[in-house]
Amino acid sequence: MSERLVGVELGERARPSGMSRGIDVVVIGSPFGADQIAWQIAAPLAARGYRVARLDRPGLNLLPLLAATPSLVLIDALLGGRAGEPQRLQLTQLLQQAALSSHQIGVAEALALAAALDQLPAELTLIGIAIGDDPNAAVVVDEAALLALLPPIAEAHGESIESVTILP
Amino acid sequence: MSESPPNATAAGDRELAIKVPLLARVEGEGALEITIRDQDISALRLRIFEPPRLFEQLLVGRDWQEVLDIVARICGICPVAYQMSAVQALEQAVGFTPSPALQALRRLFYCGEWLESHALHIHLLAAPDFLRYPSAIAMAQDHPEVVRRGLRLQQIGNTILQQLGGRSVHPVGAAIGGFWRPPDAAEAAALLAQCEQRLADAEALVAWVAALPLPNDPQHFTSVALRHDHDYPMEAGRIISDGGLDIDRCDFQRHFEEFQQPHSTALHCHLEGAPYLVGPLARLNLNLDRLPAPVQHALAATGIRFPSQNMFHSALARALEIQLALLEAIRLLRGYQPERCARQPVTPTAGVGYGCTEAPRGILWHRFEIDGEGRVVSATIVPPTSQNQARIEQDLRTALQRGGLDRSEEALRNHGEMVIRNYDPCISCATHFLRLRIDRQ
Repeated sequence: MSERLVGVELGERARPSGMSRGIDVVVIGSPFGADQIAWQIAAPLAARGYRVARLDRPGLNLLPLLAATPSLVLIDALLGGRAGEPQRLQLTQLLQQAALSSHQIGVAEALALAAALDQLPAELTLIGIAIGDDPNAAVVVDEAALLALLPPIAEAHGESIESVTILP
Repeated sequence: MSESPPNATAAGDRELAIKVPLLARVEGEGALEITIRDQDISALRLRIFEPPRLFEQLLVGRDWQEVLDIVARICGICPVAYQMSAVQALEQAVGFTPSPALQALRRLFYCGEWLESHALHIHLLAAPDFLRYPSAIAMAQDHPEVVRRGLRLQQIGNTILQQLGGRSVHPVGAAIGGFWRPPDAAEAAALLAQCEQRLADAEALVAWVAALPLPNDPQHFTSVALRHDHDYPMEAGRIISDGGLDIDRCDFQRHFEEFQQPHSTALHCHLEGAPYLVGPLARLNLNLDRLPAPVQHALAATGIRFPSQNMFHSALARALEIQLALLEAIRLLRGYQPERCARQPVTPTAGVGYGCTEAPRGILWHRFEIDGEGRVVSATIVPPTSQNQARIEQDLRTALQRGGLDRSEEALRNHGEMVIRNYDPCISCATHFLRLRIDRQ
């Protein structure tokens, strides 16, 4: 599994450099506590053939990725819930939470802005993985349940599977 | 959200308490309390709610090599400014003089920060105000190309930060004596091409901002900024004012005084006992002759005259600085020689050093003392937003009074927020938005 930087021109539906198609799955997290939970499943998903981008608090850097592909899965951690359980989220739920500030541009805000700019992918799957009530507790993702929520890989890949890490 | 007393009287003898619970579209959190008595503002306090960051004390005892990573975390929008002021102070403390090539690379780094910070401010915070939108998201629905252009300009700034700093949020590339991994020639060439592609966007932005319905509210204030030998100030210079101040950064504390206001966790700052302005408008007012020719032409085409005493022209100043930062980045990249930018090892010695650079929001002043083993003995950090606190309160008092206090509480709150946003206060930096309370008596 190789890792490299991917650059995408903002505002254009360009393919990330070096990739034959867009990224399939974006997992969002950080190095801190249970916020790492989405990153845990990056490698298992890549091993199953998904092209995975792992982002650390991307903010507005999410927009180029949203614009670059017709189909995208976004996975992030969710406070509360049963720890490790994934669930589908509705876009409208997140859009209602958006409150834009240049110091606090989270997933909801980036999606709201992308929606306003007509830059959302035609197929967008939003998945939250619950971390329970203790943000510092170790959490194990229910992988089987997560895989059941993911769309199938659109086509077989003729090239080696890559996991791409995009730095903020 | 606002409150009024249950028995509000007629306009002639109102007592009104206006509270803005959370100042919208500024960084961090703050609140504004106004007391109006007999149609005069008798008291006005800008409250900062965030707990003090205590970064100055956090740095004491740390190794000097850790300082840049620590101070970068004071602010997610202006980490470069904190790193550049800190490294200037630390290198001075040990007698290290950066080479012209390193200075140029640091200036390029700063260009990236100005681009992303100013672009974000104009499009996410300021423009929705002037165009009467509740948010940038709402504005994007009606003006998508404007917002896309702003995001392209913000993105090129981020790209510069990523290339030199390793990442755009809390960059890790800056070091004492240089950069950990300066770009190679191919990376610099690619970055140059991207910057050149954004020039048309920057020029269009200046014209667009100048055409916005900017309120006219001239006030008297003292502008303070850096003055560079030959360039528009960013990473170096003397500290000057339009009141005749011209000092070395080492003499800052002889003329500027920080003090605690009881209603705020952010320190306020006075110049010779009075409020003053730092930031893009002050910089532009004091450095018009340092603008590159294309920026001077763009400014002339707007028909707006500078120096300006209208704080609402800060938005135009930021747009002009975006164009300037892009031109500077292009100039610096064209002259970039990677072989001259290898990081130099620097040995710590006991000493005191001072740093002062132009953060996007204004001058950011640092003082560091280190011991012979490179441990920080003391640190003093004076952010630009702290320095503007007294000026903001002064502006609010004048602006709200002029606009008329008979207006609804919502109108007063909106006006107050718009005035404050001119200063682009980075409240997270200063504590080391806005709940408005008005008490009409």
